Amino acid sequence: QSLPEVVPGPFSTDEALTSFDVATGYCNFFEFGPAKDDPAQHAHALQTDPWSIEIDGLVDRPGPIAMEDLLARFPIEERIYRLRCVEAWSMVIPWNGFALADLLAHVGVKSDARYVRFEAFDDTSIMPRAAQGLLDWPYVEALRLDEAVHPLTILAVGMYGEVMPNQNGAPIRLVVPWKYGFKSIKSIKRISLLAERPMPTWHEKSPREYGFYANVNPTVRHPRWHQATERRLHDGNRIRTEMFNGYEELVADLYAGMDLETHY
Amino acid sequence: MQASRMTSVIRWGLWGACGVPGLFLIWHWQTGQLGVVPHEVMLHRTGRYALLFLMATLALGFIQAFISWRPLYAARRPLGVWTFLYACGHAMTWLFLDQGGIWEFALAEMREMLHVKLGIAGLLLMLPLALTSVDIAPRLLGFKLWKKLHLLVWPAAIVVIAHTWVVSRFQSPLVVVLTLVILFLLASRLYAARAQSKAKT
Repeated sequence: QSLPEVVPGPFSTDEALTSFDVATGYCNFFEFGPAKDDPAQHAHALQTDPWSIEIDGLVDRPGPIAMEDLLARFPIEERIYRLRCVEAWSMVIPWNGFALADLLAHVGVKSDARYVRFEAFDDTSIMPRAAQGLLDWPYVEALRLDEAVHPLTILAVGMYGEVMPNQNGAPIRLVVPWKYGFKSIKSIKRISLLAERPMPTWHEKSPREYGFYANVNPTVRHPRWHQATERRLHDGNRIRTEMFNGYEELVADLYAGMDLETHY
Repeated sequence: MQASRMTSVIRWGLWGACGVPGLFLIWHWQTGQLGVVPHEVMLHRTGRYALLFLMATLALGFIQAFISWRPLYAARRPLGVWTFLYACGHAMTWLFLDQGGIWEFALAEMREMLHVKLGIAGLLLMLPLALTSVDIAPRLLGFKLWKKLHLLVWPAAIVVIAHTWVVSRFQSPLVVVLTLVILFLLASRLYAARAQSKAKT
């Protein structure tokens, strides 16, 4: 199902795109199972219509926002981003979405908010049993407010000009291209503005392996593997991993003065 | 006559049959039937085949302790050599497909990754076994030394199963079962060796 009126947006890379089949067939979406092809097989059970996002916490206008309202209010741009998974594979995906900053401006962020917490859908009735017990559901991710309002950070409602496939996080997901893929939470149901730092799911499960920031960084290794190279799908070529996934010029300022070995 | 005929049927049949999974894998690879990331499937399958053939080789030794049917001895060498061939295929898949044949990347992996170190150790332990699997080797080395050398299969098995533990992130029940099987086979081998040396004295 095609998305209407997608306009080209800024920051797009001209690298070769990962094919649609690979990007929709090789996914991590643990609610639907731990194997890469589980999401494509099981995510059809996800009901995405109707869908709304609950906005709460330190905002001027809390409450639910329906998908139709989001699509009517924010023009959909194409952003061709690199996606680097913490497991050392990567893709180039044309996302279709809008800046998270625009939504946050629309709901009005209060001055004492410092963090944004995202919560994914949670319905044990449609999760295959294999995924249960692996993580604490619902899946939670979080960004610092300045990361969340960075112009690179988008909420995507589609990819390749198509409505977001279920296995890729329909109907709406986060895309933060300079961080490992697990930060880009799928199928968002709730966005909360908070003063205190929330606890993301993977960070809670294994803080040594999955940092709060999870910035792509070839010089800081994962305890079980190094991060200096990555396998670009779908041709499978091994390439060098770039600092901040190649977005260093745009985002390095966010972390000025921080020791990235400590705040990984 | 009947037994020696059986021996060559088993020997040559196995030499061919053990190659079948590899041929299927190459066929599936070349015809795009390995899913969206074929290199990864190749890597996992070649590794699995090597492990399976290693288990079969070890298990055969155990079975022979109970069934002293001559032709069965002919099965050991094809199983052992094919274990090594699949292990080589696994290593080549890693080097040329997973690492893209880029030595700089491969060397970095060797330096930093435990599972790569274990994998290479396993391959190196099996190398002398494969090299001395030709007919002439036991005579050249002397049968006793040759037999001793081939005890290397046990350290190889332990290193290989450790490699499997690391790549399965210590989370696979199947790997636990395989480990128990290897330990059982090793224990039975040690027990048999002890009984034999007692009988001699």
